[in-house]
Amino acid sequence: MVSVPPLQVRLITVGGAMALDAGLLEDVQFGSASPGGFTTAACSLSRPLRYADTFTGAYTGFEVIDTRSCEQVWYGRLEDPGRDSSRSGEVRALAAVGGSSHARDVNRPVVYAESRLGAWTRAEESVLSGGTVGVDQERAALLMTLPNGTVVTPSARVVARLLTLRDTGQRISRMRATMTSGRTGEARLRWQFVGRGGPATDANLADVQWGAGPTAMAARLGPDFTTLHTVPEVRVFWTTDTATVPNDNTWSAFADLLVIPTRRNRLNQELTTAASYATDTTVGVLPHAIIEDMLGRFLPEFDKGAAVVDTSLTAGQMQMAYEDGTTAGAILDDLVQLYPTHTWGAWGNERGLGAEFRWEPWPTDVALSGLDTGLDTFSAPSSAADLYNEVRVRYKDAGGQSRMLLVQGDCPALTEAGLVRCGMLDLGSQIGNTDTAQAAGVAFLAAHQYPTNSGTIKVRRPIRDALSGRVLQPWQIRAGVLCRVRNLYPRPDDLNTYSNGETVFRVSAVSYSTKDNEATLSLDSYSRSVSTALARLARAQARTRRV
Amino acid sequence: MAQMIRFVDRPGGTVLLDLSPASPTVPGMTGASLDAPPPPVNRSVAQNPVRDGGTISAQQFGMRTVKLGIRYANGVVGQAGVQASRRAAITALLRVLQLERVWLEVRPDQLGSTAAEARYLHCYRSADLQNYVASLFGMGDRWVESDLEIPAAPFAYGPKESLGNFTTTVAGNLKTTVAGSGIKGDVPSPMIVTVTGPADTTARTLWMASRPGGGVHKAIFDLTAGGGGIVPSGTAVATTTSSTSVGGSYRQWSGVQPGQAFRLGGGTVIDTVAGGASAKLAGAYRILLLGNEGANDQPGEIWNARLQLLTALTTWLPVAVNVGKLGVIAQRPSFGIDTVIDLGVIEVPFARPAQVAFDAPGSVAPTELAVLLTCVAVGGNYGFDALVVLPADAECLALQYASPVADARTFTVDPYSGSVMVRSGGVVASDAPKTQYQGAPPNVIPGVDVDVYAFTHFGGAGTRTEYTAATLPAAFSAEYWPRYLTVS
Repeated sequence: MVSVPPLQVRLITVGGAMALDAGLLEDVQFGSASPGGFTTAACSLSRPLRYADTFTGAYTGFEVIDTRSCEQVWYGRLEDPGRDSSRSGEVRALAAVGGSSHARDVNRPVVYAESRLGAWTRAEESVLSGGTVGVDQERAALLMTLPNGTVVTPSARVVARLLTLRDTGQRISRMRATMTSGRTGEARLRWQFVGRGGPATDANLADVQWGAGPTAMAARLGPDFTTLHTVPEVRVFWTTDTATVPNDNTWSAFADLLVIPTRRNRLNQELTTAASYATDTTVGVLPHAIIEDMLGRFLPEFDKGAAVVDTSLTAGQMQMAYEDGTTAGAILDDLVQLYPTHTWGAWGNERGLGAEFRWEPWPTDVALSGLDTGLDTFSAPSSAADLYNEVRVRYKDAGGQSRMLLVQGDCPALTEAGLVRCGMLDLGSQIGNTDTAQAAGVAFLAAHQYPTNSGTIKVRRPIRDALSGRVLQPWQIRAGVLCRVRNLYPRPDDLNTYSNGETVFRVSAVSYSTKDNEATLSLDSYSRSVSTALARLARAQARTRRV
Repeated sequence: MAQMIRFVDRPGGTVLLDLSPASPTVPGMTGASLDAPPPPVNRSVAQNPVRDGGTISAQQFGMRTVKLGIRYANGVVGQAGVQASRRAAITALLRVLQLERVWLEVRPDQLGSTAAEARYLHCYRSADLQNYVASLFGMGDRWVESDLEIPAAPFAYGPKESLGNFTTTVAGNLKTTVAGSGIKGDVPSPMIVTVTGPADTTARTLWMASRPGGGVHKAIFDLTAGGGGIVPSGTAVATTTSSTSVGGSYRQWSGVQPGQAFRLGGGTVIDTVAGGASAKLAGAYRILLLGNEGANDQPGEIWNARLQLLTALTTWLPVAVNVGKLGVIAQRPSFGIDTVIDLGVIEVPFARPAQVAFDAPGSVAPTELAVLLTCVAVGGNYGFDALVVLPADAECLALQYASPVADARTFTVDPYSGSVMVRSGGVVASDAPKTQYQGAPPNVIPGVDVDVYAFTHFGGAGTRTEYTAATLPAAFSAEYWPRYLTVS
């Protein structure tokens, strides 16, 4: 029990900071969520409307301090304050949004991995008027042909280019493809990777003798080229002599065509060494590399030194391109969908250098263990409407075709009732291939296999946190932890494998109000996909642990 | 009525309207009665039918209402000049009651009371003024009397009290004590803290944290005395002599590569000054790492640091008690890394209560902690000197101040308005934009000794934090306004 919540509201501008007189404030509210971090805060400030908005204007820093320890319990930025004049007096309605809103501030194009064949176009200056560039749907390859009867002279070529990097500010770090052809034994033909748009006019990134294939070709920043280019080019190149193409077999199929553009580090510096892209063409672009780039490219206001980026994930992405522009928030939404083991948040600004960003796995240990339906107010809605045993996943394949994949699973409740419920999952056009679609469908069904444990619990008393060892007052409880609620029979899931009259929940959101010194915790359970993936992750870490 | 009752513009300030019979501002108009009971207590209660009673989640002293009886005696209605004098009396009263804020001064005796016995009620514009005026005119006797209800703030204040000057030293455990025996009032009251900055423009931060009832813990832990080593080899690093370090030396970790980590400490960081268990060790602590970077800054350095709980010197639990961060950002690489690093708050005993039900608090064993410092980027050198351990369960204040010119200014933290007053040569200055504070200054508590832990370092709030052993001691002066629940 506390007499008065020892909270202080401070407003921070470029010119300085001021603590608001608590007597002028009414009902300070704030909250957090995971994923996302600090969400919103609001309070009413009694202040004559004729006064200037010096400290209450839009984008003013807004923080709530625990005066017992000077700890920051909430941080964000004000939106334009509402102003009311009524019988209650002249009141400014202060509303602030947490650091997660910064993830929607910057919209710009970025490409992390490009494997879509439709993004390649035939270069107009191809020095061979009859040469064609197209997509071979059957082989899922870029098809380049020298038509039968075409006369080829030295340096004649068919060229395809990827132009999307011109507007993203990125350059080529790696390329790879596997070539096959309909014809062998032509020593005058070569497959080449070329870079354009850099300081030099041209560069042979890779140059391989034509053959029947399959032949793998790769070009890497550093070992194969040192000049950075913005336009990757693949071409079939006729080296010497003048000749006539003798048949219909002079075609090349570039399969597994993958371009990895350069990324930036969290300090917004372009990474120009080969080591930064070592595994990108084998396992894909790893999520932590994407996060680091995003911190530098999209999130200049976050505290770069304090950002915590987990590096435990080892499966990367082979297709992730936002050439039409995107935000860090949209990328994070995609990453959370692709990597359900992980979550993100933009939290406090303890150092005064911006919000602290965290990308990390969901916890597996229960932090809050003293919650009790007999002591705290608990309420749980029904969730049976969210059960599915089928899902159709829409995605675009490498050839650019819109595809639908039906994924089926087992839902005991629906099977027992003899029902089929089919959900819909749209992966859009920026991410996704057949493998990703299958994995996303399986994850969706796993998440909708059983009724979830969910609900809300209202806490008005101190709760002990077993992980930090502290006694948390209601205003100190944050989302993103596990809690155990006593006197509540659980529904079976991976967090509640046996019944002992207690239910373990994930705290997905918390909202706090000084009015009653009450924190409302939104509770849900891990989806099956999260818990299963977490278990896999834990096993993988156990195997690789050295210390 | 023998009390002195008068309206003033502030405690100890100008008299606006004296209602004391011995010295009324308006002849014949005096205070007849005063009813000012203690303020009501407002409560938020959570109740549930599955158990007895409920939980009081918050409670506060609410606004109070002062009932002031006023008597005016000036002839009989109808006599010459009576109406005019009554109008003049009403005008005098209206001019005071219409003020948005006014103070009501009460002393127990209008003649014999001293200024020290005065109690001041912070009053607001009265809502019952019209009733009073009507009643005044509605009676035709030789004197009229009416009650006036005036809303007021919860506490009655006594005259401001000075606590004097305080200093802390490293040898003195960064601690000073405010004795409770001389504290006036009925309830705790916030200290008004003033520091005087040296005649330079360097930004500084003053940390103050209090522990009511007296603290017993060691506020500074010399890391050169603890164990530790590079992970996982356990290789120790050399100790370097330095006059700017707390114990005259610090540990220097040189040639650090990104990915390397060092575990520091391995000692009883949360311990009594004398060593050993104490019931007073229980509580929350905020821990700051003092590093000694010297001239070793490398642009782009990023480090992570976290506290770890130890069960034995050789066991490193994978439990992150709290995570603190330090490092350099791209925007200011030339500043190198900070050397005063906030590692966060921990609680002792860890994840366990210190008492059972209604028993007396148990004696708490000293707690071993270590700091895990990991180099994230660039690397180079880093020096470790000491940990500062501040209590974090009563009040904590972080005051950042800087003079815009080389001028010894005074900075006064006003917890009532949430601001810092800056003075130069006794004159209020308005040109110190880098002045702000977080948290709250310590409370003084009648009858309870309050230990105040305080230290100072350079920088803060966006500027690099640094320190030397010589700059750690803090000096401040303090005052307070006693708070009473009644005016008697």
